[in-house]
Amino acid sequence: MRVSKENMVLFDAYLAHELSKSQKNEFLDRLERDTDFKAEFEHYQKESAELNEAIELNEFKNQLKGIHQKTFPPKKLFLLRPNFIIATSIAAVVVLGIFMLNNSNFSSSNDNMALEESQGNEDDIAYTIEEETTEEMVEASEYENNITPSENGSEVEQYSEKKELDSFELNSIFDSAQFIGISYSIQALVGLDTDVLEEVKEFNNDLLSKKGIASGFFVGEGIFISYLPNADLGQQFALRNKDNGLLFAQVVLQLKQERISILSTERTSGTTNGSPINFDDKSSNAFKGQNIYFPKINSNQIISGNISLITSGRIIVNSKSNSSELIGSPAFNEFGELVGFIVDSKLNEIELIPTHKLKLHIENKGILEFLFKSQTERSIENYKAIIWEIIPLKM
Amino acid sequence: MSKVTQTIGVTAVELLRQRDEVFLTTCYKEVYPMIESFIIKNSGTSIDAQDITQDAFYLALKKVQDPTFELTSKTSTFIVGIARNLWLKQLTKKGISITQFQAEQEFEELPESELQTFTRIKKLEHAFVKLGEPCTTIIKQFYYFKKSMQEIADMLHYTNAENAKNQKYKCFNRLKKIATE
Repeated sequence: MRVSKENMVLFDAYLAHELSKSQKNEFLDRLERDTDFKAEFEHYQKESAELNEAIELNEFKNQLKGIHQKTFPPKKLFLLRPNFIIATSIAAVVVLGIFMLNNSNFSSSNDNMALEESQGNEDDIAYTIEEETTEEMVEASEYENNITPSENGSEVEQYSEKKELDSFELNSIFDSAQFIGISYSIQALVGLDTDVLEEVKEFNNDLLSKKGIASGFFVGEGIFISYLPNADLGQQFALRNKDNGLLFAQVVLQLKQERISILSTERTSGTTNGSPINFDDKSSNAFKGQNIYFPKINSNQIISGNISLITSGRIIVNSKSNSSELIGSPAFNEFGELVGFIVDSKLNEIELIPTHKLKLHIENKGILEFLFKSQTERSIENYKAIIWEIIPLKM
Repeated sequence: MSKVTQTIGVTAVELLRQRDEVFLTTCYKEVYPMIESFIIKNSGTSIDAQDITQDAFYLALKKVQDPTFELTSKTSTFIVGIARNLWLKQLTKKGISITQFQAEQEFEELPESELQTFTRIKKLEHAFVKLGEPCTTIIKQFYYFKKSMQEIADMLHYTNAENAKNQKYKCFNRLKKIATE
């Protein structure tokens, strides 16, 4: 039985005690004399109650999944789902790169980082980087010892399997304010579900092409930052995570040199829908305990922006993949934390920029700074990694 | 003796009813190895064990939400009993011969009507997970958190509650469609 739209609105109003006395009497009267109406109402009540229970089940399962992960952390290797093989392999390539950096020239580049930071009158940041990377080197080394080469000699694949659950576990907690968004590489989108396409179309958008690009940070209702070399200012995208969550975003600012776009995930027109994810305006707590800063920004408030390199490292990876496909991919440390973007590549060489500082000039808020770095966070509790597809929309 | 086996009767029921994190963690820690061992011995995997454990906890939660319900056994025994029963039903459904089933002593009987309702709710839950945004938010906020359409419209920056109502109607029907697929 399908409840009509008019009746559903009426039923909801009645059940929420929103009807006036006369409307309520009329409603009750109709229930008595109209058996179809009564049946429809009872059916809707039953469906509503079951839906409530289904959501309760979902909430409870999420709680239990969290308990399971804490109580029985995964020890075995997991098979990758095909859609994530490329994404996880990319992460693995970069992680291997980080290991190599740690073992070779990391010390010197680490010194350089501190030096650059000090010169920039940002001693606090410099101190953090120095302290954390030293600790990280020890832990990275410990992790590296646990890597067992696979039969075909590909440490990358072996490592990616180990990383899968740690790095790519979807945060399904609705009200969590902070996320790191990581998009697929282009090839990983081959298996895009058809129902997603339908969903996109339902919002009056035609899918232009299947294309997932680069990495980025999803920051709730505010902005999504991604490497989007071919995007146009004002272009709209659907952002989708692996649980089919769908958001709409529009390019509001482009950093041409870095080929990075800032997308606003708020509602921007009648054909897009706003982000459902709440987050707090933390404008007064910049850099306090967190290295990623999430202001609530309306697209028309962004006046200008620039992104600057704070630290850099060059990592050479013996990648068997076509390295050009890695441009814009996320780079992780051994804890599954996002440490930067791959911004350039040559054959078998990848240049990694671990930390960027983005400055946005926001109307009425002045200059806001975002430090893109997560090395100082040991846990990804606050920064759940989510893989996002970025789907261009033809409006 | 573990905390769970000590925590029986009213206290355990109340803690379960409240979905108390510490209690659930202690309880989960105790029952999961038992359920996993049982399921693996009987043609299942660890993944099956996790699913069944979650289902068993949920059914236990629903039981204790009934004010007339009285817990007559240890909480852990109760949950493991439900899990065994659920797994037995799944094996039967898959056509795995009952003779292969290594019967153990404790089962918590579940009425067929309860299982049928639970099956429907699970289908709806799967559909809810697949629903996508903004529908997930709209449906959850309205049917679970009992928010008004105006509040939801504000939350999602819709221009008015009517737009939110239209969207909710579409979402509701989409959810039902996914659930019946």
